[in-house]
Amino acid sequence: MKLKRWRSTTLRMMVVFGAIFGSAVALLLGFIYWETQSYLTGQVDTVLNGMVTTFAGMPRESLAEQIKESIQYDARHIFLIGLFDQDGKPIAGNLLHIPDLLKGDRTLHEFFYDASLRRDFAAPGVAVAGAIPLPSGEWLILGRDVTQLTEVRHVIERSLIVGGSGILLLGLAGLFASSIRPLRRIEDIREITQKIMMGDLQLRIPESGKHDELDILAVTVNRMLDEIARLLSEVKSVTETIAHDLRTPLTRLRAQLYRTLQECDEDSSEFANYEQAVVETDTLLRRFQALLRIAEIENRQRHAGFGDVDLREVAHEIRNLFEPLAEEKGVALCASVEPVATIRADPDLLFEALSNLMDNAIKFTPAGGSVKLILKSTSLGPEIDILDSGPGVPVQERHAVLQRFYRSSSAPGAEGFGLGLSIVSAIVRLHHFKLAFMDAPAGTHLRLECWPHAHWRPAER
Amino acid sequence: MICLLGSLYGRGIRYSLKPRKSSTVSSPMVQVLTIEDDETTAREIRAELVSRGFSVDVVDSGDVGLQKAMQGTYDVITLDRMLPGTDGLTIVTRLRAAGIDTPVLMISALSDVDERIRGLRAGGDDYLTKPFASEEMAARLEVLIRRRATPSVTTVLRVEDLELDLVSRCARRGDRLLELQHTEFRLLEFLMRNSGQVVIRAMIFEAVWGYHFDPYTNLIDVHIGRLRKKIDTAGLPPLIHTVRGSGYRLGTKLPEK
Repeated sequence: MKLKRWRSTTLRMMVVFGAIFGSAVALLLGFIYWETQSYLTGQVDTVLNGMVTTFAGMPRESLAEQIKESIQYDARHIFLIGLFDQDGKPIAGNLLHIPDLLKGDRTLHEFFYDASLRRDFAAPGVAVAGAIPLPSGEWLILGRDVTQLTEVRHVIERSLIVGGSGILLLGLAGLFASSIRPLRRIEDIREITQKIMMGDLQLRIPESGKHDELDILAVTVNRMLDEIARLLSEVKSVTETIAHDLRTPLTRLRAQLYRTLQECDEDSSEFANYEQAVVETDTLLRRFQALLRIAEIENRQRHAGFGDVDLREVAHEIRNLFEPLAEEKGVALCASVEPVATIRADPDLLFEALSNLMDNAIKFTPAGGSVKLILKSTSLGPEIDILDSGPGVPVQERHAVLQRFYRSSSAPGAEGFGLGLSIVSAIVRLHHFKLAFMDAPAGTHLRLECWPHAHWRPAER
Repeated sequence: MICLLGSLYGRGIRYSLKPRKSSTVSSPMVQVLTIEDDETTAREIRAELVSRGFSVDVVDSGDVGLQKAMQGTYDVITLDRMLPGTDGLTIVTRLRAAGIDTPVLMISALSDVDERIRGLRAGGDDYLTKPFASEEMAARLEVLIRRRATPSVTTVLRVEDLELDLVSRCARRGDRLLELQHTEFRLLEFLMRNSGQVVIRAMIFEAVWGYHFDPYTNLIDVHIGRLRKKIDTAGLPPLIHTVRGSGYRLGTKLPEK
């Protein structure tokens, strides 16, 4: 299974972390915004309340004078002050009319005003103001221009949005960037474990040396692999030891049986029994022999017997060796051999492998069938195909037949030791060649690719 | 030459099929030197060879073995590959260096192909892996003895009325010319060179095809079968005999006991 980026634990953790961090940032910024806002509003309110107190407690006669004075001292032009008569005509102050909003009640309102409101300068703005009815029936309007404050608020809002989304985007980018490395390591680990699963138990998961959680996991898994490899080799060596140790008594048993057979009258009933016993012992010996042969080939790391091999000669030899066997079985044997490049191989082992394949092909082909041996050249190297018109090997069994001790269930009558193909596998592995079942309309089609493949295992399809 | 072949042939018959009963040998005794440190194996070799009428000297150390072998009085030597003192490879190398060409059958627990090649390269004439069947060991020894006794300049092999001309590469039975394919010719040559004695299938496969792995049982049988069809035609006494439990023998049928 290939890991999808969005499924990675690291990424998910970082997304959650990002969400929490984002919320915290939003909360902080919101708090700053809210605090500033209420501070500014509070300031305005305090100033306005102070004005109301000042002006409301003032005698009517000095009011106009006071208003004039206040405006005079207001260098920043932030106060809105206006005294209006009952009909709404301005008497004093810097306002030209009563804003509509203030006519109804006495509460403070925040509103936009246009250029026609103020006497002192004709520009629109934002103000907070309220109307106070005087006992004389006149109206006193008190207010403060908050245009600048509004702009400050806008600045804060903008920085909140821009800054916040900036932080968010940066965070997401960082997230992806920082998940690349762990993901690549996980991908590496996945590839290596895949190879290990295919049987290359020598491989180990690489450690980065950072002692992080992946390293801890790698160390644990590697220890587990060491243990598995140890157990496997133990099982193998036990099998081989048993095979080896049993061969000596079996050989003696055979010798004894053989001597008895020699001394026995050929026409007596015991003769046939002894003969059968010798045949059975031979079968047994051959099986142990094959087991040890596999071990011997598998343990051979050196390529001492390797040399340049002309596959055409090998193919001709195979044909000559098997032609009488095929003829006796009533199977047509034909070989199609084209010139190919020489290969590096152990000629004896290669011949043994091909003999095994050929022997199987003839064995499993019923009389009247045919077996074909095809040697051809491809761009990568020479390729040998062995086709037969036998029952074929079911797809689900193809992997198993290349393992030790396997015999196809579809040919229960045919003789065979089940180890032939395992020997072939071992030889093919030693050469780094590749043996594969091809899809054939009928019968079996095996292909041996005679060029180096990296780590070929029978598990590969 | 025919006379020589005949005498060897006669001896071979008596040894091979009924080995335990062939204790009377008219020709001088074959002298065998067995250099083997494993007691059981040494006992087996001695028992088998004595039963065939050979005289056997068993030595369990490489140094003594080398001294004895250096005398050059033996007809054949069985040599364990791994020995205390001087090991098998060294012995055979020294023998060959000293110009002693006594045939040597190397016997070893190491079945690896490389080991076989090393043994043969050092000067061994044949290589047998432990554990072995005694009759295979004996059969291999007889082939070695025979090979040494047969002049290499032989151009015509004869067994009864079967004749194989190695120069003109033609074979005839009586006055009938046999048409043999290349493999059949080599197979017949091997059988005729070792006529009268049992050759086991593995030996045939090694000698004719040159391979050392387990030949699939009936593979050799069908080749023999083909050859037999050409040689032993109806009405003629059969020359190729199947020896049950081991292999084949070329020659006249043995008289019933």
